[in-house]
Amino acid sequence: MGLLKRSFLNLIRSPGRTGAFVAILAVSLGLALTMYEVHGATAGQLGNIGAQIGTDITVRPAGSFGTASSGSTLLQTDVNKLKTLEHVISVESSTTTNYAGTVLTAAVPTSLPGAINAQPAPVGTTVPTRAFTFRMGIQVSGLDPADATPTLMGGGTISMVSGTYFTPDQSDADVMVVGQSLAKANNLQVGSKVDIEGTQVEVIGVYSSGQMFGDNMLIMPISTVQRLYNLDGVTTAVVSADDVSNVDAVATEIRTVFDANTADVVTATDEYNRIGSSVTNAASSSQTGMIVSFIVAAAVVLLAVLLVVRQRVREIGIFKAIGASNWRIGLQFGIETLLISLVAAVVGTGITFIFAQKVADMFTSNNSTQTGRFPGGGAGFGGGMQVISGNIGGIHVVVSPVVFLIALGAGVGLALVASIVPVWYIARVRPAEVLRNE
Amino acid sequence: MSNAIVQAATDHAPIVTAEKLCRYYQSADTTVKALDSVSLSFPRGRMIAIKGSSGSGKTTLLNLIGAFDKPSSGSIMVDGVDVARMHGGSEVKYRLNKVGFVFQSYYLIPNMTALENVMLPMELSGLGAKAREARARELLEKVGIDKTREARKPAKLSGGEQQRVAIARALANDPPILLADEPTGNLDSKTGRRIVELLGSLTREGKTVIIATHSTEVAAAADITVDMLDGAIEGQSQNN
Repeated sequence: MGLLKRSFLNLIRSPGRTGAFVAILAVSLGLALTMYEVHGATAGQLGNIGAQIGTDITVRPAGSFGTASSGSTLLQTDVNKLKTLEHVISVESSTTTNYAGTVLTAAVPTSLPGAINAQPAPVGTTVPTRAFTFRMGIQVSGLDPADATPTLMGGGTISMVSGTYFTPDQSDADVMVVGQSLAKANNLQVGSKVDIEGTQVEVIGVYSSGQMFGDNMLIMPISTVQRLYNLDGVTTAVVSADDVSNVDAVATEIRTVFDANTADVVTATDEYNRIGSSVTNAASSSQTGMIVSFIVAAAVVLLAVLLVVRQRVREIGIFKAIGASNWRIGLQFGIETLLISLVAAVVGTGITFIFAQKVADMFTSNNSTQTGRFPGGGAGFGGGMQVISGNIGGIHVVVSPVVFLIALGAGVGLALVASIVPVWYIARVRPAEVLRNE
Repeated sequence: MSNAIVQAATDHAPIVTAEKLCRYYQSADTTVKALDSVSLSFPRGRMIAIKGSSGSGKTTLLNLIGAFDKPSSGSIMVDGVDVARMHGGSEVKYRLNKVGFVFQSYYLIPNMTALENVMLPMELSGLGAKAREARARELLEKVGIDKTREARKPAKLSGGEQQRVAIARALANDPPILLADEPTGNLDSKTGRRIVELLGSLTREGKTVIIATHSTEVAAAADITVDMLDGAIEGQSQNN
């Protein structure tokens, strides 16, 4: 009988004990791997958030807050100065105002069947649902034609349903793209012309943003909006610094262009910290959980092996008496430990696949918020970058097959560490002491 | 006849010799003299019974011969090997090839069949699978275990059968010395007699069989009887 077969038979000799060891170890390993995956996902998520908003600085006319505009604009000449500041890689301007005409009807219903919550409910609480009347005007957004994929409120992007988006060649043309809902509500299609402030503006495209308010907009080149509404300047300028570490310095420079009475300069740092805090907490918790789980797994294996060798001390004595070396006996116990660890690793991998996303959701649900950079600031809904909608902090965990290899590696590693116990113990067993006559 | 040198009157060269062999244990504040300055010489190819009551030191002496234990002082030579000075690998080789041990409680591996138990020492010594299986079958047949019982695990064998399997296992690597500690202690008298006859028959093949026993009947079946008391040799006699 080979060593492997003997080890296997030894394990199934006590199926209850072996099963219990495998189960406990599998749960520990599964939890550790789950935490590992969640930690990786949270780290990635933090990177994404940082990349998304970490270097942005929003400049808005002083007094603008949320949906309320101060009614003034930032002068274009001053905005142009921002592009020359050190560490500034881009300045994205937008001008937003409300459609004041009577030709178009808003696509947003006047009565919403439920509460709209700017902040998610605290953990463990529920928010009573109630209907209330809400009137949302049509928003007119002027965007830079150079940006072919502008970001709308909620962080959503637009996709053209029909027609085309305007190009830099049309930077001052009387053209616009219309949200799908708004187009439908007003029977607009590509080629339609709408009277905007006395000018016939042609619909050259219909887009979908996937958002109720995003689809209730008219989007035109920024110069067109400024001309039609006689606006001198922009309502929002989003300045991107070249690195997170330079954000504060750039913000300081911006404040030399716009004093505190002229504009509010908001860096992404606070927002990043606020949004990232839940994800950071999740990352920290998952890392702690991972370490604790691995320690528990190691402790389980060590205790299991110690228990087994103590229970089988007579067998060890017999093996020694018939001429087995310590190494040989230790190898057998090592193989048994390895088999337990490998089976536990396989089961643990299954646990990881099943529970990783659920654990990630537990860490982040109800605690995280999503932000998007909204070029259409000022008078728009939640103008600027402060709008909250959804759950960007929700971590999407993709458990790759690599986790199986990690589990196997962890299993082998634990078995190797745990093998120290039988090697140490076996060397101390003297046949004369354990094989006394009964 | 404590501290005496027991030299059996035989024309065989000694296979075991001991000089002032001591094994002391520390128990609380007292020192237990399990073996106290024992000198002896056992001839090759004989069955030797070490007889004595519980605590007389016979098992301790057997353990020292089998290298299961280390003497506190003195020397012991077994088939030209200084057992007291062995360590590590040489100790393992000695147990594997020089001695075979038979225990009162058989001590077979419970989840292995009779055949596998006998094959185990040969596996440890590196013999090939087919060769060890063939030899194990041969040994089991020799000790009276028929083929129908070869595949049985110890729990499915009687006490006498288990002891026969244990003897076959002890003979697996063809050691020159067989050590048996109360081999009939757990057996009925009839089965015990058969086991003793089996052990005695091995001397005809040149094996030296050393049995620790408190049984007068077993001692009477041996070629030489050594009486022990309180860790010392009381006397010896050669049986006809």
